Amino acid sequence: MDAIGAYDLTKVYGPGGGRPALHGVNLLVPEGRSMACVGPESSGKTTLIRLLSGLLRPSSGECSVLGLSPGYEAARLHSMVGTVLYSSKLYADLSLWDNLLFFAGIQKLTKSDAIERASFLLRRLNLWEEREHSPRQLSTGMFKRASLARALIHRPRVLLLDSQGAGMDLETAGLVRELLEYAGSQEGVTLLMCTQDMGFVQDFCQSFGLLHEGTLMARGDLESLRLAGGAKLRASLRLKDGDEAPEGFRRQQDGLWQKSLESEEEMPRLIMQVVSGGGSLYEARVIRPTLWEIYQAHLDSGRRREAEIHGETRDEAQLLPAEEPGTESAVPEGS
Amino acid sequence: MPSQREAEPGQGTKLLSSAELQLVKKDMKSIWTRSSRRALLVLLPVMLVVVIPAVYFVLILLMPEAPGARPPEALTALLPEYVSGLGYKQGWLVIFTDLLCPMLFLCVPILTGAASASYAFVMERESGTLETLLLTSMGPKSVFNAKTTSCTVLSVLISGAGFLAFALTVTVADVFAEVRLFFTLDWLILLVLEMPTLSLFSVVFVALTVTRVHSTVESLQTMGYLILPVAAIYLMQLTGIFRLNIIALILISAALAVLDVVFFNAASRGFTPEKLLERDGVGEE
Repeated sequence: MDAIGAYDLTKVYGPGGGRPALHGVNLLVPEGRSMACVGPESSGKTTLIRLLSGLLRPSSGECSVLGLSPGYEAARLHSMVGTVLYSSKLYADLSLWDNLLFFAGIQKLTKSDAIERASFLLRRLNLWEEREHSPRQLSTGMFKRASLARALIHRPRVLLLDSQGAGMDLETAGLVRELLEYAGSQEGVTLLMCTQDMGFVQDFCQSFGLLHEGTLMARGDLESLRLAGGAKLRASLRLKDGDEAPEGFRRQQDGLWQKSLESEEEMPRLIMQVVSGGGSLYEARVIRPTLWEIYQAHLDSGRRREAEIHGETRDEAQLLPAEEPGTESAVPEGS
Repeated sequence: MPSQREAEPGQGTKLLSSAELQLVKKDMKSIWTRSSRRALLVLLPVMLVVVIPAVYFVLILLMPEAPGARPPEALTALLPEYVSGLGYKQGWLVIFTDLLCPMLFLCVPILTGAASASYAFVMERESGTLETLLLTSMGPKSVFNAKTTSCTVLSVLISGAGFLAFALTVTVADVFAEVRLFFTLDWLILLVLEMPTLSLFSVVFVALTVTRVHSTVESLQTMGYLILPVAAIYLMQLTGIFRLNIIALILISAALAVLDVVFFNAASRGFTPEKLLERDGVGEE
């Protein structure tokens, strides 16, 4: 069952229209899975979370969370969904502990359950010592953790996070990641996270959506997105000083030799080539493009496609990226 | 592990759900415990129903009295018959108590209602906690009901306490001036009908404007719009043309009650996340 679904979801702010903040977004997140929608500022991330949490209503299209329509069944939705938005704050005149107990009470948890859950979350997020502090006294990173604790206080089935990864210090990033992984694996929480911090989500989310100016350029797992965007793997070799790498390799500033690969299958042949040529090979590895590089590849590919469409008429089917058997399909938006 | 949620037996018959009740308590505590807010909510009523009447009474008692001087007949004619038989100082004391003090007293529910609603609605929107509340299972309507309740209850309680302080002040003045005690049926209507309906009216009026104002300060300024009509009606009595009698007071209370219902429904309908948050420029991303 899909926990989160968006179908041609579009949002235009204001009566005058203008450029849509979100345009024709389609996505599905199966229950228990995690998805990250990434993109820079003004790419529609916050709008997407606001639509899914019922704070906004779509201009057209639909969305559903756990089978509920967020705009019309907000109260039922929020009993099963936790949402973190950068603009949703905690009460400055209550301590962190009292904030959590208050929101637990609002979410109808019993007092004992609220205390147990709040203690668990504060300890997991390393905020136990700060529990009597006002949210105003917390650092930015601590506040982000506190907001996450508030969103998870009622053991939601779905967690919607906005920009949680942006600007997190190392401790916060580590603790947040650990807790999100725990929530996913132990509590079965479905996660949809919108962030511009692509490095933060790359390793623990199972699928990704690439947002650009309100449009979902593509979605899928990392490998399918890489293939769809045409982001190449790279072979990286560390050779003895003075040794020359095989043809096609370029020496990097750090002394490593790198070359783009069409597929991983090329790697054993390259290693063989170096060794059989008498070179001293200290290290050889395949470097996978990061999510950010894949995102950039999609942007470049989109620009090229746009230029081609405007320059010369071509069959659109030819422009769509090829699918690789055995990988989750990366779905270009609008298909 | 599933959450242990509180069962709510007979929730349908309850005026407020447990979540609403918690928000009411939190809001009242939050408004009252901040010294700056408490100062506004206490000092203004004290000024209006204790200090101003006390100063006025002292001035009346101290002012020189010419032999045979009488208060204006046009005003005494509006008051009960016994007033025309009173002396100059006593007459002015009754005129002030019966014709002007109701206006001062009614400013209390307006000020406290509007101020507490500004804190509960506008300040919470500004500080981002209203959005957090809208992300809970309460739902916008419940949040609105709870906030309206907390502000109205707080306003009625402060106004009630203000009336006790006022009654004490006036009674002391009445005893000194040797006139009949001030409390009449008019005051009873003011206290049990007009004051609560005016409290609720001020709260829902501010709630109605919550999506239109930019800041708490701007919201607090709405108190001026609410006080003006009340002041105008009561000050017009000094022309000697008319007096707000019991029937007029009951009709005003009834009209306020009708307006309360209309404004409450309008404000409740407008209390949607989209309208509340659009002013903050949300969703720019």
